[in-house]
This record gives sequence, C-alpha cells and structure tokens, in this order.
Amino acid sequence: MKNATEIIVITSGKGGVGKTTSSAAIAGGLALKGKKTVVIDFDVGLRNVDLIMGCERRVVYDIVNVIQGEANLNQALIKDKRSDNLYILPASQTRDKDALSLEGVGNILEQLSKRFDFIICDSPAGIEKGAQLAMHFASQAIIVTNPEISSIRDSDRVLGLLNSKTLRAMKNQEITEHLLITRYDAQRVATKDMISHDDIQEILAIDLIGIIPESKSVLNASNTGEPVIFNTESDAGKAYAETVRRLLGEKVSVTIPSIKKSLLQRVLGFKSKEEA
Amino acid sequence: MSIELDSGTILNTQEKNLPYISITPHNVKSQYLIEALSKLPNRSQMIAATLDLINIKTLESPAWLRQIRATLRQNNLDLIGVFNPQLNLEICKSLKIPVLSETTPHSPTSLAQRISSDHSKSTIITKPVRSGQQVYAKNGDLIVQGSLSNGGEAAAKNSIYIYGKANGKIIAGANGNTHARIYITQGYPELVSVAGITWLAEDISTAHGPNVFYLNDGQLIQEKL
Repeated sequence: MKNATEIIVITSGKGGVGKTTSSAAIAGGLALKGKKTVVIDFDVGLRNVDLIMGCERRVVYDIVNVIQGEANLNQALIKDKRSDNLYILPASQTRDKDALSLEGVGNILEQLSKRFDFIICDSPAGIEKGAQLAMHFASQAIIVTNPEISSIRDSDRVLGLLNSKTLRAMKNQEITEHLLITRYDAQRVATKDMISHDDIQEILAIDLIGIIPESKSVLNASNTGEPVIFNTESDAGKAYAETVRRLLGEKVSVTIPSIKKSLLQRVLGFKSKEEA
Repeated sequence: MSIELDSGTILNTQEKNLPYISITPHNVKSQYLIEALSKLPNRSQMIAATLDLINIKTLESPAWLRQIRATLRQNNLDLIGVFNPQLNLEICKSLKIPVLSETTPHSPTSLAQRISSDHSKSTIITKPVRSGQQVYAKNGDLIVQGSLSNGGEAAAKNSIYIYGKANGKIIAGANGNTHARIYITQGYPELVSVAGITWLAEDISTAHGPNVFYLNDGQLIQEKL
C-alpha cells in the first residue's frame, strides 16, 4: 500500500516573495527524487505556475473546469516534459477565486491523493478565499519569507491562520510548518540592510527548511520556463535541492549563503594584497 | 434572585446586578407572564429581558412570541434574545429576535485547543499568539508561554503573564478588575491596558527586560522588575 499523501501548501501572505518559484522548484525536486508529485495553482485569475513550469501552451482545461464538472481531472492534469513523476493542475485565467469551492477542492485533493505522493498547493497572495482554500487541507506548510519586515509580519499572520482556520487546526491536529527564506542577500545582511535569518526565525518561531540566495538564475529560470532546481549549477538550484532533501526527512544542515566577491572585487582584492 | 410562580414560570433577576431579567415560561399562556412581572420587586430598574424556551418545544405561530414581546414592551422591557429556541428557530428569525447561546461565542482563534484545562480558571497558551490572532481568558488569568507578535492581542478578565516576547496588545482586567496586572519578560508592547486605563506604545518606557504594569489610584504604573 502507498504511503499517506503529503499535501503541502506554499504560502506567504505577501505577494512577490517567491511562492510560485518555490512551488515549481520544490515540486521538480521531489519528482527528481522519484516521488509522484502534482502542483496545483490556486491563483485563479492570475495563473502563473504553468509559465514557470514551461507548459502554458499546453493548458486546455483547468481546476475550475474540473470543479464545475466540465472536464475530468485526467483531462486537466498536464504531465511535465522533464519528468514522468511531475504533473501540473493549472488555474483558470478567465475566472476569479469565487469559482473555487471548498467541496470542489476537497474532491480534487481526495482523487489526487490516490495517485500522488506529494500534492503541492501554490497559494495566491493575500489571506482571502483563494489562499484559505489552498491551505485548508494541508498537512504541511512552507512559509516563504523575504528578509524584510512586511514579509515577516505577513508570514506571522498566515501562520496564525494555519493554526486556526485549516481542517487540521479545527480537528486539533498539528500542521508541520517550515520556514523558507528566499531572496537572501548575504552582502546586504552583513551591512544590516536586510534582516538576518536568525532574527526572522526568532520572530516566526518555526523550523528553518532552507535559505535561497538572491540569484540571477531564478529570473532566468522563470523566463525560460524551466524550474530553477533543474539548473544544478546555480546556487539557488542547489539551495532548493537541499531544501527538498530536508523536506524528505534527511538531516542536512542549512547552508547559510555567504558573501560572494565579484570578479572585479577579487581582482582588486588581489591587487591591493600585492600592493601591501 | 429567582421567583417561581404556581404556573411554573420562572423569573430570574441576574446575580451580576445587570439590569435584565431572564424569563423561563412554563407554557404558552401569556397572562402568567403578566402576573409574574407584577410580582417582580425591582421592576423599574430592569431595562431588558431574555426568554428561555426550554419548556416550549414548538410554537404553532409567531403570534405568541409577538404578544410576549408587546407585553414586555408595555412594561418597558426590551426582549434582547431567546435561549433554547428548539423548533421555534424559524419563528425567532422571522421576528428578528436574536438567539442567544450560553456557550462562548466563536473565538477568532481555536482557543479551546490551546486551553490546557477547562477546570482551571487560568488560560494557558503554549503556542505563540501571532499577528491577527486574539486570545481572551474570560474567566481569569492568561498565561502565554510563547511570544505575542505585533498585531496580536492578549486579553483577560484578570492578570496576564507573557513569557515570550510581548510585542502585541495586552488588555488585562477586561471586565474592570482594577487589581489585574500585566507581567512581561521582554519585548515592546503596542498597547497595555488595565481595567480600561490604556497606554499606547509611546507611553511605555522602552526599558528592556521584565516589567510589570498595574493600577495605583487609577494611574497606570510601569515598574522594572
């Protein structure tokens, strides 16, 4: 018999912190590890997961069609071209969040649970209906936070909702919460322009699952529709790979991004040493 | 004080000195009610009434309830709500009479899960109180073992003790208990209030470390511990 399916919501409250990028990367990483994984885009009206995963031209039916009975789940699921283990259930671009229903989402997750090991729910920003539906059935939550005060405050608010409004909270069961810090710039943390990971952890008081450094490879990955985790050379890709290993229960210590010197700085550094 | 009439109708003036009476009619004859009201000693002080329909399973029409409401109004009493509506729920709704419940109203956070013991008068919270969450210890003290985030609220009938960082709003003595105190070990609260006397963040000295807030002659005092 198959193990219980983990339903993981990727959420943050604040927009633009990297929820979708992280959803795509983590789902890709789980699939690379041989886990049957599906990503659900809950951002109805502002569909993005398909872009990041590079399958926007293959979207025919979406989650709203399935909920309203216009298509069955198999018609709406898109198989990823890079991995046989990875599927995407896209959001509708022409509707809004009201087209989703608790019952409909529950049915879809129940059907998907029979086939998949991991269901990644990519939450929309905010704390309204779409975000609440995305987190409602979750067994685990990854809170994506930038090292910046408004993002941290919003994450705190979302953690409050996770502990009160979700199915598990209502049944007095625990949701496993993970903190994922994205867009971390060691240089700016060193100059105190950015909040350090220690301070973020102290405010939010949940376990750290990974720190993704600010990286050009993330934007490149989004633009080419290839989740950054498939770029095994990039620092962001490596950081996501490490996050996935920790998500699967491996005991790997979190790599804290360090200050990288640019080529110019290195040359100058070399020169000044020579001069000295 | 509770008066039981021959008819079995019970009138109950509240112990808490609130100016309302609760009425538990035994059957659907309203003259008993008029009789009951005339026997109430301090009727002039009362301004409102609640109705407990525990003995009346189902009403055939809204007429009875409408008549009760009119009788109460003639006696300068407002019908503020109905307990135990049973099968009369729709009738109450159609007359726009609120249905009251003895249990606690729905709290924004699942307070029950965090209360370790129902018997104790203290409420103990072992998790952080996060931004946007409210916890309210309506029966006694509130002890928060985690932190109170900015934008979170902790309120209690009596004193409040916070052992994590206290950065939210803290409201002790919410029912007017002037002996309530607030103890914090660290943090910078957004607001502290004891029995309605309130300080905002700018009034609070930022001395870091353990602090207590209490009332002395109606003045709020902050003391470093």
